[in-house]
Amino acid sequence: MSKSIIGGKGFTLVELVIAFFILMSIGAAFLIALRAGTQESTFLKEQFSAALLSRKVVEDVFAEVEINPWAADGIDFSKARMVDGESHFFSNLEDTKPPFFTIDTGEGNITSDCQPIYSLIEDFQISLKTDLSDPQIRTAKIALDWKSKNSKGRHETEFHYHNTTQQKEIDFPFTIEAGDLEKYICGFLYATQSQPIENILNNPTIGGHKNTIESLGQAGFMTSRFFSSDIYTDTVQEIELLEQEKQGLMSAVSLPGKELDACLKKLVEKRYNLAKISFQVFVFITPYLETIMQNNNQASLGIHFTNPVLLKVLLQNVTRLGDFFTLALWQTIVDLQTYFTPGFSKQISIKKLADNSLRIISLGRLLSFNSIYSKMGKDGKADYLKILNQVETSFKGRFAAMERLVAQEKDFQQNVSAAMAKNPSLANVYEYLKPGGKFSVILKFIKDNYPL
Amino acid sequence: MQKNQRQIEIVDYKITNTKKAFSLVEMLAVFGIMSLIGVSVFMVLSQSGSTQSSLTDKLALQMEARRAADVFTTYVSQCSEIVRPSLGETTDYLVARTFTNQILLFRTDEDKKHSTDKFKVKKLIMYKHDHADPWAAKNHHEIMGWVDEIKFTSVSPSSVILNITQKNQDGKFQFVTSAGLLNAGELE
Repeated sequence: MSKSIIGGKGFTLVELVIAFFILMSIGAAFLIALRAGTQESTFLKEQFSAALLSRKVVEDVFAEVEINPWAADGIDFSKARMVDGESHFFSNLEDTKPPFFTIDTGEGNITSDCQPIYSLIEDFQISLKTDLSDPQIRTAKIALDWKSKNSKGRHETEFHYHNTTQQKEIDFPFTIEAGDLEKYICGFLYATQSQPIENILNNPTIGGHKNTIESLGQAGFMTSRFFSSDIYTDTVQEIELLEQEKQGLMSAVSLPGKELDACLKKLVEKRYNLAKISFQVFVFITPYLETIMQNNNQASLGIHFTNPVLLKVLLQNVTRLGDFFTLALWQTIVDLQTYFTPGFSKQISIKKLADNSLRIISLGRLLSFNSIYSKMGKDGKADYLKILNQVETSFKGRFAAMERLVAQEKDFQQNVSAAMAKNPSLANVYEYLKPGGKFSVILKFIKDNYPL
Repeated sequence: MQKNQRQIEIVDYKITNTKKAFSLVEMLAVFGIMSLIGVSVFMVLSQSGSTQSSLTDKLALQMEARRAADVFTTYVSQCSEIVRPSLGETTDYLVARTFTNQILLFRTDEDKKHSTDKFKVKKLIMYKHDHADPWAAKNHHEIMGWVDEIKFTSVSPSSVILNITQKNQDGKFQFVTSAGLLNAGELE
């Protein structure tokens, strides 16, 4: 009896349960707090990593589009892993082994040896979707998805960039004063002063349709205007001097990099400017020349059809314009190729070499399909391929975006129509320059009908 | 009636029994139990405290990394040219030139504030050199501490890849990102 009563002195079951419950509650509260803290830490770490990785893709897209306006068209991808070189945005990130100063294929990827980042982003998947519906502003969305401990992790980024491939009007470089054209037509084509054109054409010994004669006047006036303009005469003289300076610098025992760079910069600028203006003039007179081609008969051209001396001089100036444009383009490329000369390329910044490579690609592209260049006995495609190989060699393993641009240009050479479909701006120029294009047809007409 | 008498008897007994003191065995048993509970509670509290502290440190490290990444990209965005690393090269320092021809040097130095004899970390510092003064304290900026390893790689003339591993007593945190240079077209 007394033994059982002593035993009853301990904690009752209710007391034990309450005490256990209190302890469990305290423990659970600590565990929940710890778990929440751990989750928050993991969440922040993953979100922060995702934000930085997204930033890398944004910078890469900007860098790619800056040198390659077509790049945005083909960069969409869905749920690519970022490790083990599965995404080019996260491949070749470092120069880890000899030969140094080049990152070889497969080098510098995020592999399992790269800890702790590999474990952190191993399950991350990245998607990129570009919206090309707006012709001016492109929109790109990056989404990173990963398996989080409690739920799915996701980070989204949206950014915009300008589209430089949209079709642009080709500018005209000169302004024409009222009366200038009529003065030219009367003076050059009919050797008379300021007589209304109608009166001249009404003369039965002269004849001709006003529209055709005005087209002839436009073509002749604009061509002679270009060749007699200050910008042409002054620039040609400056180019001659700069060319002499360049030859002097190039013949030095050790290339004076700074001086040669300054000289080439001016030469390229001046030659390119002349090439651009001559092209713009040719484009401007093209519809007038097409009118002449369509009306190449006695009734429309009058005395100039039966006695085409002045017509030949005028149209040969057009041929000269086409030749001048093509030569200026080619010489600009030759000047830019100087930057790749061994001993000189090392003396200039890589940024300048990259900028000049982009220029040379842009101009070489025009040369590759320029029918006038082919008529000169040159192979534009072959020359452009040499340029591309030169650029590829200079940047191999160092500038992946440039390598991709070169590879794309080589593909475009195999399928020019696909290239033009992607770039309306270039397609506009292509219509004039391509074999059988507007310039080609006009120059053939001149050669066949009005040779000197 | 008999039942009532029995109840009274028990009450009496209980009253008598409450006057008894705790035996040594009981005291030891209670003390032992209390000690076990106390130690357990202390360990849980201590563990949770250190875990909480560790979490706080990890978060602080990430916050530091986030701030430093922003500062770094802001500095780089003012530059027109990466001098070193060369294109295709990886280095543990970065030399860049701004449009105003100032030179920015990013390099690591010992992070004495957070290092101990057994635990060494570095700090990323940036020095802006404008050619006017060989060294000026105002041009010297600390960007981030707790750096274990840092690598800069140039894979484009207009951007640089930054690969940073930070560490504290509780572990490491690594991130990779890119910083783009300001695109000013033909301006040089």
